[in-house]
Amino acid sequence: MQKLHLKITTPERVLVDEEAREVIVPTKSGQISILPSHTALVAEITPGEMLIRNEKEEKVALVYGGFVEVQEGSKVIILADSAEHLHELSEKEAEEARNRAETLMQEVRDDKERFADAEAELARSLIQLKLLKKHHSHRHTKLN
Amino acid sequence: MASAKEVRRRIKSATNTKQIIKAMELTSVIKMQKAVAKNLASRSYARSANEILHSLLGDINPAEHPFLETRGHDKKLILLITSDRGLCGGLNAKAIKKALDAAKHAKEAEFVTIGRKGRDFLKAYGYKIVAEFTKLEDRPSFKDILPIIEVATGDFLSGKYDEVVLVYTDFKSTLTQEPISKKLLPFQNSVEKTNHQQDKITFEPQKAEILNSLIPRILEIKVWQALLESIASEHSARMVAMKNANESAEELISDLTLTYNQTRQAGITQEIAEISAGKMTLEG
Repeated sequence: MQKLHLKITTPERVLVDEEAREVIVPTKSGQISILPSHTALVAEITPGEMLIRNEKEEKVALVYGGFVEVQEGSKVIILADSAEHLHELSEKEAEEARNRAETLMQEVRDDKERFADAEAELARSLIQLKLLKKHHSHRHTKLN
Repeated sequence: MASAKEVRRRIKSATNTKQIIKAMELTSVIKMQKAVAKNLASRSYARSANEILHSLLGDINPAEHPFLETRGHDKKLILLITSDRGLCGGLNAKAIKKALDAAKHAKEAEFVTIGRKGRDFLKAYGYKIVAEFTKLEDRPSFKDILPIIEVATGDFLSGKYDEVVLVYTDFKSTLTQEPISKKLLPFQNSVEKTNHQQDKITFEPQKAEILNSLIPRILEIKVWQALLESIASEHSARMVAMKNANESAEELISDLTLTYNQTRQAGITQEIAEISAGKMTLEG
């Protein structure tokens, strides 16, 4: 069975460089599922959840924007502004980041640039929390 | 021959200098490690961006994005990345030379300098600098390069320049760094296009929209990577320069110590000779 060759890079590191059965990425025009032998494609990624599927396992990662290119020959390149694995996130840290960003936004109201930074930080922590909650409850229901 | 006192003073001054050199070497080792790690981490990101650019260029027409418009080579803008501080061997001199080489082929060339050394040199020799950026190297952040890009792309789009060239120092290894000049704008297609090749790629949502956000992004990544390469090169070059300076200082100190001992010995011998001569006169 043919597989995708997936590479997810960010300015800080290479997040993923491996084979996969299927990749689901959030783009401006909705979630796109990429399977082997997909046509050549370039799309803009919106912040959200990314799924990497293999026979047995499914990995979840978080992207904060960027671009995806699918080349002929089943090669997928994701140029992410920033990305994290789900297992690297912690609810406590995300909560803290959110609170920090919210207070900062109050403090630096008049400084446009710093306000935008704080706002971006807030948006980031909110996505993290959303994703964590979703997968947390998921795990929970499975146990019951 | 210099007096023993003078030689001693020189040894002391060489030892002090050596201590400073040693301290600089150690700091540059740490800075180098950080810069190199950051550079290597972002390299595959830059490579992916290049790969995407390559396949894009195979698929689109020059008419579809203003960055692809070729106009000739008459008016050039050269972005020169050098370091803010010196004491890093011939690194900056080589990069400046590369930039001047690039300028030679154009009828008119103007510069944007990133880093103090390049600015100072070009200013002193009367080249035209349209914008200068300094103090980027300590804590480079992606935001810092956006104004640089703005200058370059704005004037390219308005037709003030036909070409934008980027000159920086490529980090090969700790021991070798190489100045490189690269054409930044317009983006050029190296593969001959055929109709068959075109419009193979699907764009989501719209082709124009994607190109408008992706192409500037790729440009930013290129400049960003060049900056990281240059910073890594600077610290490596400084480390090597300081290491060599440290070795030379050691050599100098050992030479001077030898001279000092010889002078001292000569003095003692002479004194003994004088004393025994005096004694012989008294006894005689």
